[in-house]
Amino acid sequence: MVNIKLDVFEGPFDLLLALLEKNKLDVTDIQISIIADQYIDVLNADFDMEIASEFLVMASWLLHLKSKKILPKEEKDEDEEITEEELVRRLTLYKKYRDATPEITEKYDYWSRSYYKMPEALQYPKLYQPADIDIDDIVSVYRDVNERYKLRHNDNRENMERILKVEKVSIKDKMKQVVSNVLRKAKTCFSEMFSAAKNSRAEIVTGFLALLELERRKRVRVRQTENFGEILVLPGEDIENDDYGFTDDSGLNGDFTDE
Amino acid sequence: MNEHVDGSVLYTRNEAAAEALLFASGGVITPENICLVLKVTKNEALDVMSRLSARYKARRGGIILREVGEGWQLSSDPEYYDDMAAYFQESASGALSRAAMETLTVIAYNQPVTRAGIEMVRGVNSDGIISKLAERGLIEERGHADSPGRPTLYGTTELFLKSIGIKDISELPDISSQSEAEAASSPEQAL
Repeated sequence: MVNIKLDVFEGPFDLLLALLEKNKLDVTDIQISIIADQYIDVLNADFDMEIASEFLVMASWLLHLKSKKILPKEEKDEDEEITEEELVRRLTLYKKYRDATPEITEKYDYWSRSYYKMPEALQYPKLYQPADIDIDDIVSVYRDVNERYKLRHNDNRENMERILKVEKVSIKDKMKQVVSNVLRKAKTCFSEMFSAAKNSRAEIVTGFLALLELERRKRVRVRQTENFGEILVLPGEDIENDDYGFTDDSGLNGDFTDE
Repeated sequence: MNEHVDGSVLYTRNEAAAEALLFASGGVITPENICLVLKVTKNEALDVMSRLSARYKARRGGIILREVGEGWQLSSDPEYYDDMAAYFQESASGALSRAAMETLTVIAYNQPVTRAGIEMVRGVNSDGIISKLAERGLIEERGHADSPGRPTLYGTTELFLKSIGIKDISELPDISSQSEAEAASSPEQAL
């Protein structure tokens, strides 16, 4: 009778290796009949319904191998998966890692006693270069934003008037207005003619469309040096042409209202 | 890495800057990081770190400089763990069960490996242990195997390397021919 507590073993391979070592047997020379009996003894002595099913599977595996030894040789067994060679192969494989575990454990027990600092929450590596801007750019952007903010929030009286007086803005009117401005000054800019301070949104939009239409008709030339920069308006080669009519397919016949 | 450094000789500017970087970062510093900070070539960076490592070994202080993967990191010397235990409530890591260590060993030598692969070697279901090891950051998912069902593959983490004091898995103890060697000497292990 082998007196071994089952719960110290990690699994059936672990228990089998222990039995082999106790019997001074090599992994490659399993005495199936002896080992199978001892294995069953251990299971019987310490039987528990909670026992891992793997232990029971191994017990049936061992009994099968033992019965094959006792019974007269049959013709080729169909269940080729369960052979002594396979058991030896699996045991040898398991033994390799079981035997490596103590050294890894020793290293772990020592080196896991080291403390590390948590990495700092620094932004690295540096991913961007500062943009090429100077103090004047910042001041001008600030003024611009401030201006727009004031217009949007402080001028309610005028807004009310605009809402009450539904205005009607036509592209034709705006085209005339732009041309007269250009003729008067030879060189003007869009913000002088249309700005949020003086004009409604509909007027500004229509004014811009008028400007594009005039440019297309070569009555004015439009220049802008940078995005969102000032739009310069200069006389075009056909500035004197007096035709403000639209052909049907221009799509620009409609009037824009600010309701 | 065993270059002789006279402890009485002052640090060079680059050695001192590299040490400052190690402290400031707290994490693993790679040769590339050193190149960027010191504006030196990779060989010069390796040279600086080799001298700094030698200094740390020679001075035998409470902070050690460890090789982790391709880089380096500062940590406290494990020798002084017990001294600090009086100060800290929780341990740096805590011991693992034999089953957990065995599973960790199987994964370390066979990575990347599936749950089924681990179970095949150990002979027992290891799902619970695998989850626990992943929770502790010692192993991590490494994509999926091409086999049916595309099972998850597991491998060990940088924390695992640090926890057993090696810089990469090539430094794991050699076990390739251990089974034959042990079989020959036939050790009698007490049960």
